[in-house]
Amino acid sequence: MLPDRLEAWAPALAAELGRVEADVEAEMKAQAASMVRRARHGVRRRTGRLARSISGPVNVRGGHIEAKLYSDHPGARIQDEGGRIRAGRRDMPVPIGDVKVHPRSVSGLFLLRAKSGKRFLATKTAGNIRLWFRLMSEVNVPATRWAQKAHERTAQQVPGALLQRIHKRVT
Amino acid sequence: MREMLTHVDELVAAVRVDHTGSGGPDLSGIDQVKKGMYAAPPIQRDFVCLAPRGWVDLPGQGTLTGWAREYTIDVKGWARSTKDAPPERMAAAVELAASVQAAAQGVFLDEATPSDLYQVSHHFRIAETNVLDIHELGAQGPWGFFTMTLAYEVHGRDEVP
Repeated sequence: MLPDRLEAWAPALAAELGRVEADVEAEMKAQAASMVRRARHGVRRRTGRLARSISGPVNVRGGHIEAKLYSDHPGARIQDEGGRIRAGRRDMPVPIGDVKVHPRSVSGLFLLRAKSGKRFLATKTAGNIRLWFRLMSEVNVPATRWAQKAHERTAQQVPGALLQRIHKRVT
Repeated sequence: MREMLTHVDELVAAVRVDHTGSGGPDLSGIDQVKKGMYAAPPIQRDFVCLAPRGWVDLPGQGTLTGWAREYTIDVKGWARSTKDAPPERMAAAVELAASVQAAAQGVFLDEATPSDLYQVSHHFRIAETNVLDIHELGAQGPWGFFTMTLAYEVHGRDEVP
């Protein structure tokens, strides 16, 4: 006994199959957007510039679709993998505590040398000295793996998500 | 100043939407895919059953069992292959085909030999070109074979000017 459903389904199938490619592309775009959200959530935030630099372009070439997590922020790679940053001509101002601003935006900064030899950029207000930045020639940056983790998690999600899309289209 | 770049490509999925069985020649694309990252097998388990343009398969060892299960056709009584299919089963298959819109175009057999195709064609007066082994479909029709990669590319410097 042939189910009614099959009779309706068979002639419509070819048209539905023609839409599978668009479905696959749409799903990869959704996955790229999701990868970007995960990556932004995983970065260590100070100014938010690194998070804002993260994008998820999707390229389609024939039957191949590439979704990419991308950032050209100068600190993108080092924060992902960790490592040592060296200063060039001038030592680096490393923020102290919850400081999230650039030295240029703090007025009244002066160089303070501690007896230990450490050097700071500080301000003095009503007799109180506040340390804003420590000047360093090298800094160790711990790895957050923000890109790798977002990438891995998305890679786990893709097959199942595609399966669901295609299943919906052809059944 | 040294520009740093990390670029990792990972092929996460390959989707092939067609009729192929797991052992068919149409799976040549599997070699392009990293082991363990192939999405096609689970998809294929669900979709090996797709029949385009109303064509119908003679259910065999597994190629169309997913389809048959989905559409509640009892495959247990069917011959395992065309070679041992009794004539009444053949007739039932053709009747089934004819009842589906556009199915008069032809019949699919599963794992059929050239002799099987010839016999079915002549016995049921179907054009030889319209009796196919289902695995021949890999190269035909509007099937998609898509590969997907996920990459990440992060630039940066390890020296601050």
